[in-house]
Amino acid sequence: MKNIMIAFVFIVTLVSCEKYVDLDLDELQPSLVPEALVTNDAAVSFVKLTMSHGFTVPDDYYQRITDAQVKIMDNQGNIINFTPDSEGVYRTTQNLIPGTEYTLNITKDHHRVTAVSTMPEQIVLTNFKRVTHQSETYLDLYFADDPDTHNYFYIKAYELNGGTYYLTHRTLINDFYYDRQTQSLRIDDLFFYGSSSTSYKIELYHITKETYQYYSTLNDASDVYGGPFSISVPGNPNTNTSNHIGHFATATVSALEKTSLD
Amino acid sequence: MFRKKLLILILLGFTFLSYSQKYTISGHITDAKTGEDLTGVNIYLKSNNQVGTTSNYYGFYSLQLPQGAYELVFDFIGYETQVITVDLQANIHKNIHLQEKKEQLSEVTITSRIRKRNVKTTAMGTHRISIKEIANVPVLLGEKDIMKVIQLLPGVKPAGEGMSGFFVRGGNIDENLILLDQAPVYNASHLMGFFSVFNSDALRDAKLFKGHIPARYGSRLSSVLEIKMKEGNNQSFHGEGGIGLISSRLTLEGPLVKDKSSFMVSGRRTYVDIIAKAVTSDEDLDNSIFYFYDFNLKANYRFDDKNKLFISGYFGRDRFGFDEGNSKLRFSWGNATASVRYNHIFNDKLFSNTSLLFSDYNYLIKLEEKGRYHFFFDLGAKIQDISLKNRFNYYLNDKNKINFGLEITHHTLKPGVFNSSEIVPELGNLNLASRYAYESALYVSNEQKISNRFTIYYGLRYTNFLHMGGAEFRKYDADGNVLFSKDYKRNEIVKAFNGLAPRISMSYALDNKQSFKLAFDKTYQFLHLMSNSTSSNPTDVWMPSSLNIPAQYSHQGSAGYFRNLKDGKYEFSTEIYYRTMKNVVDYKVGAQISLNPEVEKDLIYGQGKAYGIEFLLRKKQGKLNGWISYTLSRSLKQFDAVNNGKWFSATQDRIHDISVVANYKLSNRSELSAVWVYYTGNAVTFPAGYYAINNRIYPYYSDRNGGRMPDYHRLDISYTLHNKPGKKFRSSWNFSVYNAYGRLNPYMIYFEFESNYDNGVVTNTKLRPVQITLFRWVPSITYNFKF
Repeated sequence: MKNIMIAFVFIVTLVSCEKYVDLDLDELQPSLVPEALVTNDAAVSFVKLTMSHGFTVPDDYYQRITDAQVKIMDNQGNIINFTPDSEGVYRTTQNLIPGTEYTLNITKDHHRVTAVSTMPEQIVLTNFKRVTHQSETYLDLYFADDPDTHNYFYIKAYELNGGTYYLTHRTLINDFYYDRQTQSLRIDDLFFYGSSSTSYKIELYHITKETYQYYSTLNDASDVYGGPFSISVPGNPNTNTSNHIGHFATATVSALEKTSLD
Repeated sequence: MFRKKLLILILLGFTFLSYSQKYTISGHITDAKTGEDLTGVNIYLKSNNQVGTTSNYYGFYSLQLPQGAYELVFDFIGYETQVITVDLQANIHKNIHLQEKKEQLSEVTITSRIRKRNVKTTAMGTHRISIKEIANVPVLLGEKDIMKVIQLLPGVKPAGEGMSGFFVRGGNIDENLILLDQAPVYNASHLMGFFSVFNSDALRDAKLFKGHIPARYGSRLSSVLEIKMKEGNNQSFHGEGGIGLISSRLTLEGPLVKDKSSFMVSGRRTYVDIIAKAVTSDEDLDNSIFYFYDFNLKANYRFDDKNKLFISGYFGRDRFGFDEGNSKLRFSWGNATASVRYNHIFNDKLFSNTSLLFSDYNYLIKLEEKGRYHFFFDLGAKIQDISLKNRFNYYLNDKNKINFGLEITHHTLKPGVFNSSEIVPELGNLNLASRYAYESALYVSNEQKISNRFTIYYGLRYTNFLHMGGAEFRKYDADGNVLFSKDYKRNEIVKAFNGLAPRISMSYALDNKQSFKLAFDKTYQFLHLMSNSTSSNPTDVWMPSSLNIPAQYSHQGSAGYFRNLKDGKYEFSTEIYYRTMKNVVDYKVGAQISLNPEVEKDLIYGQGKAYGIEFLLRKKQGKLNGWISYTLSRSLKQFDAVNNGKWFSATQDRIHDISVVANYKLSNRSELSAVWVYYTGNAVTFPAGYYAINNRIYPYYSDRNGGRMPDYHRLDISYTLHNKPGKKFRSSWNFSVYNAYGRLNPYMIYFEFESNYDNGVVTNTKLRPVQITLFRWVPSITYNFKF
């Protein structure tokens, strides 16, 4: 029996190793990557532009493109121009209107990208509560949700720390997986590990199904290996941009801030 | 039109009937030492080996001959040939008991069809595998496994490194019907696919149909693997077992009533967990469990020469779990099967078998967490079948062997059973509706000897599949929008499918040594595995054809040339095939497969095609024996929603596939065996670059399956030393090395950013593929014994 144990340990030390390998791979040509979120609140609307890359990573791989023409047109033909701010993020001062179809147009040199999205109606965040359990902190969110329709949400949660709100949580919600019978959707999975803050700000974005699917598949589909236990089919998420990379999201936002919570 | 032609062919066939006075000799053929039935024994006239038959699955044979005296040969590989003299003046019932050959070690007992008959039978793409052969073939961790040996045959490819799952002629792993004593096994894997559920000590033999599938089988597109458990020795009590690195096993068998009834019971359990805990001080291991076990049971009772009852069952389970802080996880999965079969011989020409079969596969995950809430959930899924099958063999005369039968199966599929603590009621939505279905079939076939050179098999199988109600079902359009929704009652038909599947094969013998064969088959499949993985995962879920999921069907045409060389010492065969597969299921990008109540709207349907040529050269006798197989093949798929509708390589599209198996008898007590395999790497989807979203980097993929894993090759070696046999006790040591030359074969490839730094500043970063290799130089030692 002792010999068998020694042999087993020997096996464990021999199996499984990792190494870099060289493969003959197709390489992606550089392409514009729009990351756009336009809402009924201009303050949180933005369009970010970067370039895609092949396998070599340049120093400025996050470098934002600031010399492109970015505009949005509604279904009445009205044009809203976006201009880059000091951080290279394209912004507008105009609040967009829920229920309207918008077309994004981006032009830079020979690159041109278009995308279409219809902004959902607003759903109001009515309340949130801070709950503590032992050393753990949770936020419970409440908002009205029509039980007869499927809605999708993007939640951003900020904690106040040193006089500044820091974005600490982002989560996607598909209300299909929640009990909507009360018409008040309670999201109780915002978990703040070791949080001592008593002030929070929540932004509830009512997003389209396409935007939900884009962001939820973005992570799942990045399961990048060829082994037998692939979690999902590797592939690029379906999106609304004409060059099939990046995404144009329209959303309505409802924000709520609470300070001095117990 | 086709049916009309078939009818004419059948009628023409009967014109060959002879009306001279004929009598029938029939009976059972058994192993003289154990009393077990022998399947596939050749029976032929000594004066003319063109006249003969073979014993069926239950060892029954029937041969009609003109009145007269004959010398009849009973020939079965591994057994002493027996010749009997009969004077046929009336119908004769004659049971035959064949003696096993004493010298077994030098003989490889795998055979397509043995000796000269392999060129004469109409069977194509059929391999029979005796369990004796498995003892010598080196395998991972010394755990002999019939599923690993099957993967060394032409046209059969392993699902991955060390995996027991397999692909047959370009089909997916869910397209193989695996039967254990006639009961289907839905997930034939232990330990995430590295070991099969089949304990070789409990098995007698297996037969793989990959080309021509007889009409008595249906339900899967690509192949049927029919595995037969040992019946148990009805003469004396015996046992065998083994102690290996990761598991031990013990099998006991013996008579309940001598000559009439016997039993076999077999058990196996792994003990990696016990050893790991003993040799390490890792606390995590102390709080974890991981092992599998299985049991095989079988008993039979021969009432008389005409009636026999078999009862057999399998139960196996994997268990995995750990305790960590406030969390407790338990995960178990496994199969259970039961078969009750009753043989009845109506007369010397008509044999029947009635089977009542049960099969169940399920998994259960239990998670408990004592954090803010006392949270717990149980999550599981299952598939369960209950079947009644009635099969008849009618030996019309020496030229026509007719099989017919009917069967019905009730399927219960529970794709997601979820119970959670009341405090998280929103998760209750994940309790998915159960699915119920009836699958019934009616078939008839005839193997007709047109002349001494030409034999034809023609059969027809009609299948009906009824997806029954019991829940609300939705019909979706291609974009996933609900077209209609209806609450179906439990006994209401949601959707009905019908399929008519012809099965034809023919053999033309050029002479006693060589023949040409042709075959055409159509197969249907109504159950579909929801899995992205190429291996068998415990959480794999099956779904029936439904309002949204169409029935899959496949056509296969094949042609082959079979030749025996040097008086049957060598056997050569080559087969060429072309298959089309319709309504092949795949997934939209990012589809959530498990626990998705609307998974059907994330499915896409397309087509597949596979073609190839297979070669097999086998040496069956002598000190050195074994085989070489080579397959050159392609397997392609096409979906409108993938790669702009272009055809692309299926994952299993391995263009070249070579297996070499060699056994060499060093002395009367020792043997050396080796296996070498080579195949083209899997087709996989690799990234072509990357891009940033929300300050995170994501890969940008090239075409689906546009890349290739590196080629795979490996050499395994084993040495078996037989200890001096005692009066009743025999034992041996088996030493083996898996991947003897340490090839770093890819198990999976992922991509990561490799950065170079200078004083903490990144100077250069590249996206690079990283290969994970699982097994390199894996030695093992196993002690086997028999008494």
